[in-house]
Amino acid sequence: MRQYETTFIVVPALPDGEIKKAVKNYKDILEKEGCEIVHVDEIGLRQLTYPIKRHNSGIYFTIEYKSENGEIIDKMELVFRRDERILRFLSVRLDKFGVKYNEDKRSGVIDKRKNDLAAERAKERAEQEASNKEKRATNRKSQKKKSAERAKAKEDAALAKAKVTDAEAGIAKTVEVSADVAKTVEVPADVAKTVEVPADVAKTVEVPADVAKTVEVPADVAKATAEPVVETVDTAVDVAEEVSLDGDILGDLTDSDKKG
Amino acid sequence: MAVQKRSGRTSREDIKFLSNPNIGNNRKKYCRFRKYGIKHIDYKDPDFLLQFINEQGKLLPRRITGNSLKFQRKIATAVKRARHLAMLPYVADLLK
Repeated sequence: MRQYETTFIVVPALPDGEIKKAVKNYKDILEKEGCEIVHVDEIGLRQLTYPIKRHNSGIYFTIEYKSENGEIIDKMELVFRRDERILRFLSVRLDKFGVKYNEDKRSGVIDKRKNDLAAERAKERAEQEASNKEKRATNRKSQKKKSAERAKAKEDAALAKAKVTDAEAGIAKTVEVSADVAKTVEVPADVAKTVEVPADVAKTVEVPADVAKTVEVPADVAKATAEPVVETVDTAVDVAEEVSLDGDILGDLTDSDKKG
Repeated sequence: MAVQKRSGRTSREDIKFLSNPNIGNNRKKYCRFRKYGIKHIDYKDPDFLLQFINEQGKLLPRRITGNSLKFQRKIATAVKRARHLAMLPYVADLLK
């Protein structure tokens, strides 16, 4: 005895009794020919992925049966073709694995196994994602650190700028320091050149020497201010302009020192 | 010091994002049917078969899925049967 499986699609726009009758009709045909019906599975209404005879959905049925040989299939398929209620049909011989698969499916083993597999795959994916996340996290950390550095530098720069608006000396000192830093640090040549520009600007700004000495710029601020100067020369120039505009200074110097 | 550190790191990071970040960890492909002992492929399970076709409903090559030849053939017949039963499209766009 070989086991076969026939799946067919019934037109959905039929009264309920008609559909049942159609299925019963095919069952009867099989039984009449001496087949042993193993199982009749109603998959139910499904959306068709493409229209068949202008129908967009169909009711799927699967009949599993055992037969001595496949002669019955020809006869049944002839009936299928003549039947207008049937949209599609497919008959397949099941091998031993197929038989086992269907049995397992009926008893619910397959679904469980499928879920297990899905869980396993999900776990694998999660693991991979976790490792990726870790990498990303480290990246982000470094980025965060960098952005924090940048933020701090900006803040310090703003502070220094405020100081400069108060005191001409501020800019002279900070810019000079940045130039020094640029020289002491091993910087690519083009960057060093850009640094030199604000230094010149600083020179053009006329600063009283004693004022410059009195302003003590903290080392870290100096370092921080060096960064934006390197990045954008424009800011330094702006600052320098502001400095040249603003003259009154010395009164607030002590305050700004405290800030620094 | 800060100047050098930053300028150096920026350029390296730029290069890093130009390339695929997953390019290093190349995972070995395997045949899932062999690994998990799946013997039979059901043509009535389009959700499962969807893993082996691309967005246009075409079969993916073994090169990509990692299936062994035996199961790739079974997948192919199952997909073709599913297409016949309108469970999978013959032609599609944006299937996934």
